Amino acid sequence: MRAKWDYVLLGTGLAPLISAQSLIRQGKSVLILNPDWDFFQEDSELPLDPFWPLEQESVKPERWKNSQAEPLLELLRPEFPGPVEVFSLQGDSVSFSKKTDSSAPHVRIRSRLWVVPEDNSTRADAIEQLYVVASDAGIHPQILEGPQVCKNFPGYSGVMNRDVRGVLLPRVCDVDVKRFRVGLLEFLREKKENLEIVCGVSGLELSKEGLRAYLSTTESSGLKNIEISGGLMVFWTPRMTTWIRKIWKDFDLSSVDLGEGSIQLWEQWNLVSREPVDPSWVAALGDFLVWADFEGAPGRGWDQLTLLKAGSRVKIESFESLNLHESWASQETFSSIERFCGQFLNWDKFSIRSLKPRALFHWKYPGTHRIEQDTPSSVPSWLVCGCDGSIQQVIQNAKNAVELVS
Amino acid sequence: MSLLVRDGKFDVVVAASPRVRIWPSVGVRVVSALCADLNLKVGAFGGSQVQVRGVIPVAGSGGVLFVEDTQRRVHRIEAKSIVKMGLDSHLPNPFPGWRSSAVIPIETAERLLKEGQLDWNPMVGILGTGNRALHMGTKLLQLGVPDVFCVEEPQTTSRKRISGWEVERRLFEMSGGQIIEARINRIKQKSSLIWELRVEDLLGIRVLEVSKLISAGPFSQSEGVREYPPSSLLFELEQTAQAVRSDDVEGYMLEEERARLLAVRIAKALVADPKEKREELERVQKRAKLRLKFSERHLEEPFEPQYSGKWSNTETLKRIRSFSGVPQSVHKTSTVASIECVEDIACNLCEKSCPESAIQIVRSREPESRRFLIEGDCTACGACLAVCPSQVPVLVREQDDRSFSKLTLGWKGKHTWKVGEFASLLNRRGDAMGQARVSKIPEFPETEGGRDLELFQWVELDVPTHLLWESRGIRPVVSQEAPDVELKNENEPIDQEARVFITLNGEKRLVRDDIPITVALYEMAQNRPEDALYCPDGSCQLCTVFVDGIKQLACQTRIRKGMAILVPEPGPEHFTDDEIPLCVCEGISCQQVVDRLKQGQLSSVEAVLSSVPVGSGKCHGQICSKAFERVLKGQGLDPEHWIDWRFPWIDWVVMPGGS
Repeated sequence: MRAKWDYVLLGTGLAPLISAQSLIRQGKSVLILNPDWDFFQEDSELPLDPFWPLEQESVKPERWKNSQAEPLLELLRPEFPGPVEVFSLQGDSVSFSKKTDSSAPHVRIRSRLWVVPEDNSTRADAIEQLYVVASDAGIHPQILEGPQVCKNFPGYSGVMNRDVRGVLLPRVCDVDVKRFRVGLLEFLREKKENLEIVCGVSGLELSKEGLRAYLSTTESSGLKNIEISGGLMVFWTPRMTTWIRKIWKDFDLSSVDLGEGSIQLWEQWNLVSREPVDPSWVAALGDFLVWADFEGAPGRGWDQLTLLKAGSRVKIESFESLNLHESWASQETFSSIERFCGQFLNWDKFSIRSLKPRALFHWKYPGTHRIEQDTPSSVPSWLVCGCDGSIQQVIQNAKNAVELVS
Repeated sequence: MSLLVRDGKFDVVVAASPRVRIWPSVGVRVVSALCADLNLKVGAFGGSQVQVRGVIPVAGSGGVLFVEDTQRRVHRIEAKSIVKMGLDSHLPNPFPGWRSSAVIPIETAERLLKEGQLDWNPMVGILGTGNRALHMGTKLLQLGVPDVFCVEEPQTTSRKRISGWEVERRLFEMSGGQIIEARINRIKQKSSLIWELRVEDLLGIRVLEVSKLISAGPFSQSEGVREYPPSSLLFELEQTAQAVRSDDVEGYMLEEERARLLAVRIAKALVADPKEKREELERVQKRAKLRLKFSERHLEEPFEPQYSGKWSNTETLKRIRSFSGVPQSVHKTSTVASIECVEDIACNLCEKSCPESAIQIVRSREPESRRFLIEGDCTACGACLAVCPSQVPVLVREQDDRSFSKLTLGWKGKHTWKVGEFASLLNRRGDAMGQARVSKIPEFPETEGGRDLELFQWVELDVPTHLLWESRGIRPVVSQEAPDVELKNENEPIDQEARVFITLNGEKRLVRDDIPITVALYEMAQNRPEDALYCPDGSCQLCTVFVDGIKQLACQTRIRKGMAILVPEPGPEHFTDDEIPLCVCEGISCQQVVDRLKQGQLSSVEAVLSSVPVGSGKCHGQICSKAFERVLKGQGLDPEHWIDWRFPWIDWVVMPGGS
């Protein structure tokens, strides 16, 4: 491994990969250092914008726009080395051309459905507001009631007895984020001349010329000095927090508004029942966002229901002190899943297939910040915020960061 | 009753992964006791009362464990350190046909041997040549199965040589078993009961007809204790111990000592100041390390008997005769025990059983300081013969001045010896050396330990003096007039009275009453690959069948008169002839895994799993995860320290608002 690099990218997840690709295109040499053992332990990217919580901030027209097929493909296609396919799951018809690459990552065009029980006036107001905002944005929302809502809700057992109301937004997209990330990583790992990816990095310290870290590569392992000529980009995800706070103690958190309740915990459950799961809708009810789980192009039966549940918000300090035991799969979560599956979907029985705990920042002011503090290093350093959350947000922030840095 | 979650907190938790049969095994007891001694709050969750559903690791600070009790209450346990008691599936490296119903893991074979009336004829193949495989083979042969062979790839046979292997192999070969060094090519069904197994060795391909292929791992070396992620205090300890120490002395010792080392490690991390216990911890650690090191020493001084024709060569005989467990002079004046465990092994059952303390096992690096038998103190009571799981000790009385000497050995088998009968004498690898006459059937001595002594006999023989140090086994003399071996199962008499009619997939069948459906499916040769794990507590949850229209686990439901069983049709597997299925639930082949690994230059197990979701299907990796790890290992990736913490460990069935 060479000792001198134009840029060193420090982070986990998709954002460093996107940035590295842009920098390589500019002819720069890039070293990606990942403190995790690989690029898959922390996937900080959600396949869709959850538009959660349902408040003014979440339902801005520009966010809707980013979840439409054309802008989304414009964002994704230049960043992916292979084809990014589209298929539409609108209503009963599945539009899918045989000419497309079935193993490519797909942008899925589905309908998004927000549901509230009739007796919940606060949320009903939010739904009204959502309808207005969506209408203003030209999305053509529809208000649905009772059986119309139930019929389309993924995994609903077919008993039409719910007194519910919902707003439907057609043609909202989500992305096959897993394939996107794996495909990009595979492509980048082949760029051996200008790029090196090292995982399982420990003992990271700033030095005068750049960085010093314990690296273990196929060639050798040990403490290495890395000389950086262009800059150091640190992609801030919760996992990186401890290190960032250790190195840049005086960084003003208020500049990114990371204070009280800045980390949003999510739980991604996969459930199986005997009920069929309609793949053409992504639905939201309370703290849940649910959709049929499948990868790539349609083919197998969609029998698994993914349930993304918003958990509590915790302080950045509690994440650093790793005091998260109480947060995952609590009594409250079990009760609400049970209520949702039993009382709303009318399932008589279901299996829990998997649970993936996630911790994502709740950014108010994402962006890239130049670190101006006195450190042992003379290398320009940037802190890239907003590189976790929906895939649109991650890619956009990573691209912006590269523009600023280079 | 709705789903009720109760919270709890522990410092250390030991959790049973699915299918763990023995609870609490020695490892669980050791970790619990050592940690509790240091005032750590310890919980052990497993057994028939509670089922562990899985762990959510919380990076750097232990994790959260989910346990369900018999009343379907969920206990949510926070712990600073978690030890997952893991179990190898003992399924082989994938080869064409490995997921067929003929291939069963050794745990299943052991249970079927105990509970079932399975037809093991005409031949049983065992994949693997470890102690447990040889022990199983010997047991089958002793129960009258005519032909048993153990097969192993040539380059891995030597690596299987764990401590105590030489004596197990000796007993297996003397009982009529055969060890084949060959590569498995394919297994294919020939008829409902017979499978065609193709193996390839240096001489070419040979085709063997087997009734079952028992898979007896481990198929790769393992450290037995893993921590993943590093420094997380989340561990996996392999369950190598059997319920009874004598069933696998080596495995018992390994689990015990590994658990000691692990407990010390946890204690050092969690107890800030162990005070007066510090010295004890150091002592425990040192002793465990020494014992583990000692168990590997046999590799430095292996004992591989060499033969000139049927006779042991001079070197081999010299080594046996000079071994400290073999009498040097007393055997010429009186009957005395000869204990020929030439290799170092961890077993000390004979030492414990000896009422005169004539057996004292002292291991040492220097051969002259080693001690085994104090021959002057031996009264030839025979207690050691009865207690030895490998039937190594014999009683000898050499009579130089006469043609015949006395040899007494233990016999276990279907044949019952009578005084005056002639027996074929066998050398240490099972070759017939000559004949001897049974001179006495001594009374069986009282022994402790509760071993299965059914079919056991103690036989005193008049042996030609020149064969006294060569003969270590016997078998009935097969005369020319003797009928051929009958190809029928003679293990148990068929009791027509205890049979009932049931309906299986719409067909009327006569089966034994009150046996688990899984056993009945095996006996009717209707078993599926899903039945292969046959766990004692239904924890794998794979063997579902419909009994009178209701979904039940076949291993947990017993046969009763008139029941209608519907076995669900297996799902389409979508594999071509060239692809070897790895994860059947998700339809992933070995080649797909290798391709993804190479294309992505993936460097960790998690990375590969993110690309190909092996083990995320219904079985949650219980069938394929070990095979998957071995595929990765074959591609140069080291999965040794990885632990699969994916949640839950098995499908967790929830009934909203139900009981």
